[in-house]
Amino acid sequence: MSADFWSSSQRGKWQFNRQSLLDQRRRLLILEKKMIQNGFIKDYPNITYDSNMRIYLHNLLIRLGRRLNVRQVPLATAEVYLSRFLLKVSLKEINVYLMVTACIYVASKVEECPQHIRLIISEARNLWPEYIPHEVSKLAEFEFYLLEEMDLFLILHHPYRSLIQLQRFLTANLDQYHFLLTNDELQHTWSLINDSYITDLPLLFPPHIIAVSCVYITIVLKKALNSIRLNKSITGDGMGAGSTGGGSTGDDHPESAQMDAHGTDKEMHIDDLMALTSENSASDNNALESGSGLQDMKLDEDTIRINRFMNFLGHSHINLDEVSEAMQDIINVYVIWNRYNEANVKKSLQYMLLNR
Amino acid sequence: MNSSTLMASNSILTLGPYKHRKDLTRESVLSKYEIVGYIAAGTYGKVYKARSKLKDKRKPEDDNLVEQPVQQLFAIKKFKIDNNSLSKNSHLTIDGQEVLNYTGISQSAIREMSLCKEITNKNVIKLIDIILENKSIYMIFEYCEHDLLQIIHNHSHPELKPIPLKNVKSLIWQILNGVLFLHKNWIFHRDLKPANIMVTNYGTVKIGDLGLARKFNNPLQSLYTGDKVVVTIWYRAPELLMGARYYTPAIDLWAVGCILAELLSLRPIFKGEEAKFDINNKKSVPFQKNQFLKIIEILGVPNEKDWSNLSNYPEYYSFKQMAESYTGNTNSNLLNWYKLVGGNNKLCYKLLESLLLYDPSKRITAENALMHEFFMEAPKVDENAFDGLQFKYPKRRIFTEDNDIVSNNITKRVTNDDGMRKKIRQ
Repeated sequence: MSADFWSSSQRGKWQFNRQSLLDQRRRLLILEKKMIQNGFIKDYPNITYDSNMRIYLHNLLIRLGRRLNVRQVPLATAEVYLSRFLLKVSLKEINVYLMVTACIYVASKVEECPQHIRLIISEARNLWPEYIPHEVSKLAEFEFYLLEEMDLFLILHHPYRSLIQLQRFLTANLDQYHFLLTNDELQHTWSLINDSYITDLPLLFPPHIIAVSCVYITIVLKKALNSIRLNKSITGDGMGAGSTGGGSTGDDHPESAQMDAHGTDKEMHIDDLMALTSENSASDNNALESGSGLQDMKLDEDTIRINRFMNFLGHSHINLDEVSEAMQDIINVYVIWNRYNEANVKKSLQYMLLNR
Repeated sequence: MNSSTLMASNSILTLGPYKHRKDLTRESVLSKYEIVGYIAAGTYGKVYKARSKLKDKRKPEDDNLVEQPVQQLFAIKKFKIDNNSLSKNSHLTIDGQEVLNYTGISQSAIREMSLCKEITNKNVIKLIDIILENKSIYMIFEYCEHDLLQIIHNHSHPELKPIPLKNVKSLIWQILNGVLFLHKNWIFHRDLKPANIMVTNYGTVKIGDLGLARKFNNPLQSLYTGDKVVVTIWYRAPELLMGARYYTPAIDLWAVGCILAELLSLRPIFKGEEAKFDINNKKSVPFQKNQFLKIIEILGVPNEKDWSNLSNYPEYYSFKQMAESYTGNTNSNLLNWYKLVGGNNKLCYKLLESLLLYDPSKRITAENALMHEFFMEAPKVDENAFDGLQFKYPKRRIFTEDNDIVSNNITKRVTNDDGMRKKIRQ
């Protein structure tokens, strides 16, 4: 059914656990090996579906999406299609640039904001002229194969809606929980959700789990972050060149349009997050002891908000184990982003696709 | 880099190795199904009747156990490839066969496939499988022997013999049940009409053709932007005729009202003539004056008292002009109409009236309609719409002259050529 996630094909047909995901990827590797042995495809050891590749593909999607003014939700849909497709198809047997284009093409139709196939192919060609064929029919052909690999299950449920539902619920129950997300917090959560598509989370957890873990990072970890910043006065450029946060192209959400305008100081910094993963509670205490009196008052307000949010979580029946698991994955994205090397991926793909 | 950059001719750029692997393992339509004949052709493509070639591999589902026919029958819908792009995207091979290129799947096919894959309900047609093969899309549905158009025709030809109210009641209840299911899933159908309401041998209603259906929660753009015109003209709700940019599931309930009226009178209640698009200005949607007049003749002229939002619709000016020159009765004539067509059940009339309310916000919802007093009074709703009927409706007509489901022949010329070839082969 399409009314909610619980009865959807996303849950029934396309939700994995860590083990089944691993098994699926193993099967694909075996298939890949066979194809190489039989001479169907050549081996390119540098082409692997690792975190570098994932960030690279994520950025390709965003770049084409921006050129076409595709909004965040269809873009997220496209990225899930891509993750599903790559569970069944080896990177070594396809052209990722055409795949990214096909994912956006199909997603924009499914999300009811279709764009003309000619426009999509011409914008993709502007971005990647060596890789995108002139003929519309090649993109349309890819569409068929993409749909087939997904077994025609196309409708998705995203954490963006869960986030809005959560805020609505909190608004309606303000008397009970005394907690609401501020605009800044909504925007921040929104951009964390954008980045969660780099991970396996959309294949593993219900959308609300991902939404809540992004809220958690925003509300609970933000305070700790502030304190670390105060202590260490970290500057730096944080998440590296490809960083999103501005990954949202979107005005899907009234607040998100302003998101890009907010400076990087609102963003999570890698080092901060690294520090957090190890010394979460310790830094809280440090923070409380340090800083000026004014800062103390601010932190105190934050603490009250955190307590209220935790109180809500405690009453919510949300699976908190899953939330914390998802949180780790999202935080990990920023860790790997710090080591991201775009040039390497680009070169390997060029070598494979163009033989040069 | 500019577009003059050389494209490499490496086959991997165009799906080469992957395509090869997939094409080797795909099961073809004809390996799974045997085509009995074709049922109907429409703007979307063609529907075929087919029989499974696999012997009883599929386990009958528990809830359908009674309904499992001995021989599994299917309706296969084959989507037509976009005709406009045909000339640009096709060429003839040496033996005159048209070779089609992929042109991109239509919005309508994407909708029908994606929605049908998500939903299961007793009163909505069940999708069995989708096969993508040789540039064509085949949707395989459960087979239904009847549809409302055919049933109504059967009662009106050669002479009028009304459908017993008990059976009308069952049909409408089942339709509403299917519509409620769709609406609960945030889907509106947008093309309910007798031809799209199937009925099985066992009198179970199956709402079909979700080609215009779409999800209506949180649309990214106005519904109007996506589709300028929805619903076949006779069943089109007044707010759509008024040019509504945003509309609600109430449009489906209006159509159900029209279907109820048609089941009672055996002819369309508002049989207007469609104003065609201006050839020189395809972007402007014409005001459907004739259709609106047909509605007014029976339901009277709507005013702001019955329909508070009336003056806010884009077509209000055209409506006003039409209403001013209208000389017929301005009050509702529905009760007279109902009596005239032989209706005498008060609650049935009340249901009809609440389905055919001008104001979409006052029109009865599917949920409330299912709990309408009409369905509460005796005789109670039977799950078999044919219960008590002394005769059997004739089976669906099947045309056997064109069983060729796999070739992509679309133009008449090519079809003839194909016929020629067959003869030559014989």
